Amino acid sequence: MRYLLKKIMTLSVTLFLVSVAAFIAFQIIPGDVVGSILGTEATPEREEELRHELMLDRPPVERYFHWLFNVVKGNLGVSYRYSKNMNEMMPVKELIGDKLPVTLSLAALSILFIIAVSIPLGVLWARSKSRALDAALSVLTQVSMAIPAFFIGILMTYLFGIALKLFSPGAYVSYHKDFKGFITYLIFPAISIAIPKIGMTARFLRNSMLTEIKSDYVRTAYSKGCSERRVMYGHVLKNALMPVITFLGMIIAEIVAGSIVIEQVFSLPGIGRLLISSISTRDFPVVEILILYITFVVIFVYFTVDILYRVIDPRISGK
Amino acid sequence: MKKRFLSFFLAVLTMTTLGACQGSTAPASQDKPDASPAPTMGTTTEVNSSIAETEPEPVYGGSMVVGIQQDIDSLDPHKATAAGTKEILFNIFEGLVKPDENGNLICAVASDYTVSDDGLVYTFTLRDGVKFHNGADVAAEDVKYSLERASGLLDGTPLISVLSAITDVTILDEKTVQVTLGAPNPELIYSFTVAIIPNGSGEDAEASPIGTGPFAFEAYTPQEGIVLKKNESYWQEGLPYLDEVKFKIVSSSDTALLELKTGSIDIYPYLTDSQAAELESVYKVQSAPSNVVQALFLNNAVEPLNDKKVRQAICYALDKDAINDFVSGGKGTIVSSAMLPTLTDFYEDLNSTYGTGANVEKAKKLLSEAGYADGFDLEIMIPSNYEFHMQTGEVVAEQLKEVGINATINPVEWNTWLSDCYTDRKYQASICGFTCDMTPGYLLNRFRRDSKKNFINFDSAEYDEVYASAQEANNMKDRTGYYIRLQEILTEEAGTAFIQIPPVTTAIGKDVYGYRFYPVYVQDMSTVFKGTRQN
Repeated sequence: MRYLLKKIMTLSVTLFLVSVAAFIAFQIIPGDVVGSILGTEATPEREEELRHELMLDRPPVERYFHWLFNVVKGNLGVSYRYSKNMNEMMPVKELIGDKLPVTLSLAALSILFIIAVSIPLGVLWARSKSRALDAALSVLTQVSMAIPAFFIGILMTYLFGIALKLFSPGAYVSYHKDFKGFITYLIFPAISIAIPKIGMTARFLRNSMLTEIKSDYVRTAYSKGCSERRVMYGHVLKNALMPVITFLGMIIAEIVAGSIVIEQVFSLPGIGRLLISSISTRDFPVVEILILYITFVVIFVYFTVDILYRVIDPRISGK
Repeated sequence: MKKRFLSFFLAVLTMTTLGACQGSTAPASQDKPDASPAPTMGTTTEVNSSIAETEPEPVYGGSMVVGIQQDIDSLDPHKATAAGTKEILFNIFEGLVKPDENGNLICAVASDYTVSDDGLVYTFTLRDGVKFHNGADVAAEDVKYSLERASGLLDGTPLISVLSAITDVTILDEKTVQVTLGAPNPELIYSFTVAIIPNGSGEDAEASPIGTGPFAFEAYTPQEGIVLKKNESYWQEGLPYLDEVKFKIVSSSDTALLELKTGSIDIYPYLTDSQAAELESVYKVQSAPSNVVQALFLNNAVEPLNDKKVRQAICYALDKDAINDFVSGGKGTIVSSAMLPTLTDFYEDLNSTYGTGANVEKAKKLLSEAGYADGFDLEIMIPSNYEFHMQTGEVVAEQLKEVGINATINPVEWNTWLSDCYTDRKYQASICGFTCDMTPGYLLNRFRRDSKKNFINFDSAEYDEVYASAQEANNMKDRTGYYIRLQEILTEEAGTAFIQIPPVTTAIGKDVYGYRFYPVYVQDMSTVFKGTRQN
C-alpha cells in the first residue's frame, strides 16, 4: 500500500513537472496561435479579440494555473485549432478520444506481432544447434534492427501497396465505419513497427536463454531426469523471460506513447500525427494533454512491469 | 466527328447559361458610376476548351475524393482565412454574387443589383427560389444578418475587415436589401461574395455550417477530412452532378503521390513539377495560372537593402526564366510587380525593366556604385513547409552568388516565419507567395508606408499619394491609371524582386470530367462528374 502511494506521488510530480516544461517551451518558441489562426490577413482588432477569447492577454502564470485547475477538475479544455461545428471548437477530450483508438489499435497489433514472432524465434534460436541457422538469424536480426521503422514502412508501401497491390496506401477507413477494414489497413503499419523490435527482442531472449542454460540449476534439472522440453520451457524460459519483460516494457511504452513517424508514413490519423500538427499550429491545450498522455503511458508501463516482476518472481518483494 | 459536335454543343450551352446570368447583371452595370463591365480576369479558356474536347455527356451520381494539403481552419465562412479552407467552403456557401471561372462576377443569392450614382448605395434583389441546406428559403433577414455579422455592425468587430466600409443594411421589402457605405469604393462589389448564412446561425453554438451552395455539409473529422453531400434543391438547374464529395487531408506531398498512384484520390491540385511528370501516364495533368504572386521579398529597412541600387542589382541578378524552368517546368508567368496578369484591365507588363534573364554586369556595376563591389552576405528566410519556395530559394541563392552576393537559406517553420519575418520584420530577405483575391488593388495596398502588412518596409511618399488618389477615384477606369502607376513605382524603386505567378498543376482522374480552373483559389465541384474511363 505504501509502495502504491509512493508510486502515485512520483507519477503526479512527474506529470506536473512535464506540464510545466511543455508550457514554458510554448512560451519560448516563436509564433503564437493567433498568428497561426488568422494568418497573413489578420487585422489588429481581430487579433486582439481572439487573444482575449483564448485568454492569451493574461499573464503566463495565471494562464498556466487556470489550465491546471481545469485539468485537475477533469475539464481538458477545447482545441484552439479544430472546429467541431460552425461556432464551437472541438473539446480536447473528444479530439484525442477519437484519435486514441487508432494509435492504441496500432500499438496492440504491433505488440501482438512482436510477442508472437520474437519469443518462438528466440527460443528456436537458443535451442538450435545448426550453425547455418545461427548465422542466418544473426544477420537477419542485425539487419532488421538497423533499418528504422519508417523506412520499412516506405518499403512496404512500395512493395505491397504499389507493386503487389495488397493494400492501397492512404485508403484508411475509420473504425467507426468499418472495423474490419480498419484493422486490415493497420496490419502493414503494425508490421513496420514490429520488424525492428522483433529483431531486438529475439536476440535479447536468445542471449538471456544461453546465459541461463549454463546455470547450475539446468544441470541439476537434467540430472534429476527432466526432459529437455521440461528444462527449456519450465525452467530456462521462465527465468530468461525476466529481463525480456523489462525490455518489452520499454518497447511497449515507446509504441503506445506514439508511433509518430509511422502514422505519418501511412497517413494514419492517430495521436502522433495530431501531436505534430498541433505543435506546428501552437494548439497548446491539445499538445499539453498529448504530452501528459505520453508521460503517463511511459510511467504506467514501467510501473506495471514492476508489479509483474513481483508476481512472477517472489524473491523481489522480499527485498 | 460526333465528339466534335458534342463539344461544340457543350460550348454553346455553357456560353448561353453564362450569358443568361451575366445578362441579369448587365442593366445593373449601367447604373454603376463606371459603365465598363466588371474587369475580366484572364484566360484559362485554353485549358477549359481542351477539357471540353473529350468531355462526354454529364452523368449524375457517384462520389469523388479530392486531396487537400491543409486541415480546415474554421467551418465559419466569415472566420475562415486559409486559402485551403476557402477553396472547400466555396462549395457550401455563396454570396450575393460569386466569381465564375473567367473571373467575372455572376449573381448568386441576388438575382440583380444596382449601385447609386455616388457609389454609396448598393441595392440587391434576391433571387427567387434560393434555399438554404436546411430547406428554408433565403429571406432578406438572412442577408441583412450575414452582412451585419461580417462587417462588424452586429458586435463591433468586423470579421472581414474590408466590409467594415458598410455603415448600414436596410431591408426594403422581402426581396430587396439596401447596403450603404461610408465612402464609395467600386472594388467593394468583389467582397459581396461573402457567405450568406441563416439569420442567427452565427451565434447558435450548435449550428452546423448551412449555406446555399451546390453541396451541403455532411461531416468533418479533424485530420481526416470533410464530407459534402449533394444539395438537391440547388438554384442552378441540373447542378451538381455528384452525390458526394470527400475532401481528404493528405499527410504530406509524398504520401499524396502514393495515394494518387494507387488511385485513392480522384483530384489533387498541388502537384510539383516532378510529381506531374511521374503521374502523366495515369492521370490527366493540367495546369493553369494560380492567383499567387511569388517574390524574393527584400526588407527595405535593413543594410544594405535600404540602398535602392543594391535592390536593383538583385533584380538584375535574378534569372527568372531559369527559375521558371527549374521550379515551374516553364509553366509559370514571369512578373515584375504586384498585380496578377490575369487581371488584364489593370496589369502592366513591366518585365522589360530588369529583363527576365540575368544581367550580371549591370548588377555588379550597381553593386560597386553602392559600395558593395565585393558583395555582401544575405540571409533568405523561407517557410520550410513550402517546398516550392524552398526550391526557388536554392536557385535564387546560386544566381545571387554569380554577382558576388553570398546568399544563404534559413528554413523556418511557418509560425516562426509569421512572427519573425511577417509581423516583427526581423529578416533580410524572404521568398514567399501572396494569394490575391479578385479585388485589383488587393496586393498594392500592402506596400503603403503605414500598412500593417508592409513587411518589406517599402518607403515611398509618392506611392502613398498615388494610392490615396486611387482610393478617392469613384470609378474603375480612373483607378486603373493609378494602379498602373503604383506598379511602376514598385518596380522602379525595386521595392522587392518579384519573380512569377506559379502554375497550379492538378491531377485529374481519367474518368473525371467537368473540372474547371478558376482564376481564384477554389475547387468548384458542382460541374464535376464521373464518366466511363477513356484511355
